[in-house]
Amino acid sequence: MSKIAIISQPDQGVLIDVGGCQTLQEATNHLTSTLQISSEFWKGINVDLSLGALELSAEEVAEVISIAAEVGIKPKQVFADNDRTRLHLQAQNINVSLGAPIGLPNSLAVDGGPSSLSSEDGSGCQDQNLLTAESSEAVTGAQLGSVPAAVVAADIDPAASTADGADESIAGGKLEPVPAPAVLYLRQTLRSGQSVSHKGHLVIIGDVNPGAEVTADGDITVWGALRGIAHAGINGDTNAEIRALRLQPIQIRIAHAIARSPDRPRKSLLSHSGPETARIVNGTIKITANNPE
Amino acid sequence: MSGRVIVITSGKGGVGKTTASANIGVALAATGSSVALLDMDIGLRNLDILMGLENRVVYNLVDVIEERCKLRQALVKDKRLPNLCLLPAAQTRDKTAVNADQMKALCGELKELFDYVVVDSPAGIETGFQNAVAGAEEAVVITTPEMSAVRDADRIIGLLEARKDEIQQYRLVLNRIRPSMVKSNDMMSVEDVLEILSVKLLGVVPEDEQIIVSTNKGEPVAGTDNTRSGLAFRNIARRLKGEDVPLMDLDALNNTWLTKVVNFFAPVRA
Repeated sequence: MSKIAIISQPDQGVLIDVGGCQTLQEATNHLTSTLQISSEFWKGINVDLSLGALELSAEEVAEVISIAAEVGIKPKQVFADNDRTRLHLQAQNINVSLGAPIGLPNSLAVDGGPSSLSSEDGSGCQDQNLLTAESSEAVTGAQLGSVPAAVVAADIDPAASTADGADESIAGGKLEPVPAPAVLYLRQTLRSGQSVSHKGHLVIIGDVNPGAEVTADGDITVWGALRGIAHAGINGDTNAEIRALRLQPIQIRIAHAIARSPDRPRKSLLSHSGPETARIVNGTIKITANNPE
Repeated sequence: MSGRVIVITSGKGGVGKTTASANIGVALAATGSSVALLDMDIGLRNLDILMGLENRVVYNLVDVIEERCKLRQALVKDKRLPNLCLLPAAQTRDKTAVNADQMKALCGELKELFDYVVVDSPAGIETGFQNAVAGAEEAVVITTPEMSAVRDADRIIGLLEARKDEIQQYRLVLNRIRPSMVKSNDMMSVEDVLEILSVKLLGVVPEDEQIIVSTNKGEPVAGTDNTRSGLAFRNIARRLKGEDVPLMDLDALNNTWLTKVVNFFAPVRA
């Protein structure tokens, strides 16, 4: 269930969003577990807090602030939708704003479990990427074993993200749509069975092997061989492109178009024709070479 | 229509479950029956590669079970045989993505549509195996003439016997037998294996290099003529359909032109 989100913002430190919680009890529970397990992580980081539509009394506001204070966090700014909550916050001399900060990715799959956070350090958190405390086994364990923090966040396979209630945080309507898609930069070879999904452009420095899947809202760029399945423009963006140094995919999909490899290529996997780009031309996927001339 | 659900299983890995599934599926479909191949090896899917259908897979079994698509959308039609379909496994998930009840329901749905549903089981005896046999009424146990594979087959047969209510029949396929090695007493014979397992024999498949070629090409040997393994799988399919087909004469396979010449001059040498 999507309860609490920890989002790193460009040049602004970290935003903690508890807006997904229905009650204060829930919010404090998640906040406590997340913050305490990873208390080292929070030292010296600028932290904003988003309370969403939660309605809190003066004491409750004080309680939330004190939980944060226990691990050495003093929120620089607090975002809240509820008028009464805002009043209480102002009474405590806290910098309050309406809603959520602009420029955040609009749909972030988040989980209350603090499992992956504890092992992460500040350097792993990249701009505009979400640090999820994701307890789903698909992400922390089997899927991508040793990935940097920012990657763990984006690595949510399509099934997991729908099941985990990513939609829930959208439905809450607290996060503004993102103007320009974020870019996930991933330095890793993806092997069979691994999948990476990202809301934005995806850049992979490494290969995508057969049996691996990469999906993105925007473009997919593989600095290496793309031999698996790639799906760009997953939300219907027909201008999305897929490019790779060696474009030898089993299948590529852009928006709603699908192209599959010929049935009998079986050429050596080492033979290739240089960097190529796939894009939709007149409704079908066309592949063109990226020649230097 | 109510078809037959046949699970192909072995316990041990690498004895040829997937190869047998693909070939039995192709051989059954070649006789005119409608066949669905169901890959239950979630997370380690291979059947689509053997069938040469890898590039056509869009949806998979887990998508069907989680209702992201209709069953018909996930079925991949074979390149050559119009009455053969593949329901591929998911590659980015694991065995826990489905449960036995869901499998029962899925097999029930499939057997309304097809004469035969051939289920390729994963290696092992855990969740994956339990799910694969959940919807089946018949089982084909694959083994090779090695002690380890026979031991695992014995274990599997025990597990199948424990499901007597569901699995009405199970038969053995002895795979990768080398008649020359059997002759020189370096390999267990068909009789040796049957002695240990005491189970009905469905067929014997000789070792064949063509299997490797066919796997890489994505064209099961049962669909091509003049391979001895292909013939063995076609015989197995005929026996599954109830025909009485005699076992292949494995000794005849040893008759290269040289041995024929030798035997011609010394017919009673043996």
